[in-house]
Amino acid sequence: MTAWFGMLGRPLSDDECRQVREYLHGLGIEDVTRVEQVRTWDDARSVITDAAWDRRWWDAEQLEKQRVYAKAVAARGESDVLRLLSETLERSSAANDPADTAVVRLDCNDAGLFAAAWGAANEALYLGELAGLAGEASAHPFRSKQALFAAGRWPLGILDGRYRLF
Amino acid sequence: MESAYHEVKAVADLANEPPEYREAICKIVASHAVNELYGAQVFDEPAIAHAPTPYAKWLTCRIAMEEYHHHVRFKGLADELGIPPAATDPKVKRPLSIFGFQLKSWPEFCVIKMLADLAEILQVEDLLTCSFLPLRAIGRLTMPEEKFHAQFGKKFCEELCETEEGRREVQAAIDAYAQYLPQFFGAAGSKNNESYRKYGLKVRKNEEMREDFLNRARHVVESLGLRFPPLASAGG
Repeated sequence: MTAWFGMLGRPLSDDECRQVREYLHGLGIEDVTRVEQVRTWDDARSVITDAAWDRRWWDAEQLEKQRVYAKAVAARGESDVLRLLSETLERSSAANDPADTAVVRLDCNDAGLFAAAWGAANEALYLGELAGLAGEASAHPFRSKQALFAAGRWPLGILDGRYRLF
Repeated sequence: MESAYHEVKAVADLANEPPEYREAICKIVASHAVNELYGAQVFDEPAIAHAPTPYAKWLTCRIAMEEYHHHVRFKGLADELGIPPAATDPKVKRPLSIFGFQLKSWPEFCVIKMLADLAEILQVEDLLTCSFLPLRAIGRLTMPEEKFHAQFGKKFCEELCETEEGRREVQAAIDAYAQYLPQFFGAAGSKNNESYRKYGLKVRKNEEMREDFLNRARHVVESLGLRFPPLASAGG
């Protein structure tokens, strides 16, 4: 298994591009088919701080999160769901070392950007686990996004009609 | 500074302590469990929607998760202590008045992180030296995250202050939110606080903490070129 953030800056495979399209399809976004590689931390920062970002993926995720959260709470109870969230953080903290390696490799000396990367990873891991807890299929978009992180990538979002994958 | 009271290493060791000691521990743990959860529910999670970019949203997600995680840590200790679930449930136990503020905007959230998490840092500072070691351990895990949250608030306030409109919004949020802050430290001459100090669970009186906090808060606000407003109540 690839370390979290271990593939940042590396060329994208066809399989990864397909996974991104499946994720977008799962969110109901059909008109974005181009997946563009982001090569550096500086470029990643530009993408995720651009005020002209396309919000559709975010809004669709939040709507789906509400649905899946309610389903998971109904199935397992709120305290179980909160505990899951806590375990997610602990697991991602334990995986910090490989990320540090990637940071050194690609010269990221921006602590805020690094924290945002972990925020994104935590959120994706949590949503993926939540989808599992709610009994959603493995093709669920939250599971697809989680798989991209687990494969060492950072999915950044849509800008100028293209999906940006670091 | 270490606690004047002897160290109590584990929940099981509470059997050898006076009942007032356990009672004081339970009050502190329940209060943290309630307020960490309620704060995440009313401030951190709703703030994700207000955050303007993915960058800000993901940082806010991280903070919300950490605040929920703090609740889970305190709740775990509360369960070990045999505290009834209702005492750690904000639907039953009233949270601090600091959470009565109605969050409506991103600048407000940044100000809350900058100032309320600074207040939280002062509270956790006391946990770091407290006589009950399980509580001290939670304090040590929590402190770096609370510092990150306060820095996050200050950094985004600085960014907002780069424009005149943002500067006005941050000042307005400070003016509104600062009024809620003094009460965070409890009443002057508090009996609970006296008991906490007797048992080495807190170092300072409420009024001393409040004064220290207001000085630090004023310093942070003035470092942004803004003013800390006069307060309607000093909280004591």
